Amino acid sequence: MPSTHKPAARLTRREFVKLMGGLAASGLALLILRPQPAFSSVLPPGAVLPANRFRALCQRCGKCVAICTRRAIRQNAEGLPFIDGLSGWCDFCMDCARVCPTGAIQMVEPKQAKLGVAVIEREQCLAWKWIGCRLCYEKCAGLQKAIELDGDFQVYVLSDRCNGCGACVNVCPQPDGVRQNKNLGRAVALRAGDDESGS
Amino acid sequence: MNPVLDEIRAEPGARPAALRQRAARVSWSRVRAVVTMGVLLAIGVAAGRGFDPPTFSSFRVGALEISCPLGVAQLLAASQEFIPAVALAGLAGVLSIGLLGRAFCGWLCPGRWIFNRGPWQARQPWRYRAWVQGALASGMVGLAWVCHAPVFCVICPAGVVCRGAIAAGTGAGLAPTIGWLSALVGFEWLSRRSWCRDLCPLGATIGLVSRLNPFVKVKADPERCCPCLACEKVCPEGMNLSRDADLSACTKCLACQSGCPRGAVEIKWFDRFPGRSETLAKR
Repeated sequence: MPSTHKPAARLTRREFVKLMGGLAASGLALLILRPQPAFSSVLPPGAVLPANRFRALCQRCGKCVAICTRRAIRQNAEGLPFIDGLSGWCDFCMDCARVCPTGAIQMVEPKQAKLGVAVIEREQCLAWKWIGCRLCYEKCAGLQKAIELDGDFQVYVLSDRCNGCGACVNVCPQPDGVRQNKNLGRAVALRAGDDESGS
Repeated sequence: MNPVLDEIRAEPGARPAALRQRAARVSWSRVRAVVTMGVLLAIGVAAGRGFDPPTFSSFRVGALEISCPLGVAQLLAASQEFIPAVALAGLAGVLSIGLLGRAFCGWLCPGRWIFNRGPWQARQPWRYRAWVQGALASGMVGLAWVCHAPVFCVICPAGVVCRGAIAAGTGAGLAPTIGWLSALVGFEWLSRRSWCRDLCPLGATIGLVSRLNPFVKVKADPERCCPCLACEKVCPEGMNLSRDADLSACTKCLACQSGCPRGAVEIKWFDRFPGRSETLAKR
């Protein structure tokens, strides 16, 4: 008695590769294009809009990066600007707000701007492991006076006074851990001040 | 009727005078390469010295801001709000395209040198080209509306290369630039279509409004042109000067002038009948 089963349609190798390529491409497209709710890196001083509005208004033209003479601003892979303490620090000159063609970065009062908070990694910090280094303290003493020494000459950050300019990250002599973990800077790193974002 | 043919008939062995002119013509592709490289170099150097460089996204002429129309449309769609200053800059961009057409694609956009290197250049463009281009441009604006971000600005080859020039000038890494460009080249190879001619939403947007531009038009000289396929083969947009009535996709790269074996392509610096040129096909 002949079997009633039909042989299943064979998938050729070419079709299989096309199918997988299409699936991978659409998955990648979804991954890149999905709407992202929050944006947590440290933004330039005039980026006072809510994160979603900032993402929508930024044209990714790179003018703020070009005008920043201190090299404090970098663009991430998507083209959005962020304050990168590794290459420079922000002196709140507000040039970036002046050149922004779309108003994503706006003029704000420099004294009231707060970009984020510096956080000291005690595992890496020379002042906490041994005594001696106090470069970030000396740098900040001329600016915001947000880094202080305790009785053992160990540094700590006064987070309500810190305005997140990134000068301490810039002078820190420890090698940066960028290759291991992008959220870590050197022994001191900038974090977006999510709870203080009301400026 | 045709002086070239008449000369050939009169003296079969000799090279006609109309063909002898060819050696004197300019190599426009070299000029265009120098212009593109020079502009990108200037952007990088300006960024390195801390100036406000003009970019492909937006630049300022006096007090007038001129912005990329597709970028502005995406921004307004993404923010779901009408911002008059941004819209005005976009309108200025549209007007500048109305003056110069797709000259940006041929002369400034570095995508011209990165894409269009595959066998699909021999294929015909999309059948209903204007409709496909409208769909591409409005699709990007719709995507920006849905994603609440100017999605095409992130991957736009002109913008990516411009950001790369700024990054190189300021000492940042080029990894995002190279990554996005190779992703786009890979997409072009997978789609078996020419990026600049068939796929680029920016070029499509410019092509939609370039119809009325009156400056720098190429035109076949009816005295010399014996309708052939020479210009169609060298044209990155796949147009034929002796056949096509609608030359609104012309990027003014002037490759047809360098490539015509009869020297029959004239450059009209100002053309009173924009968008249309008389064809030779009916003769």
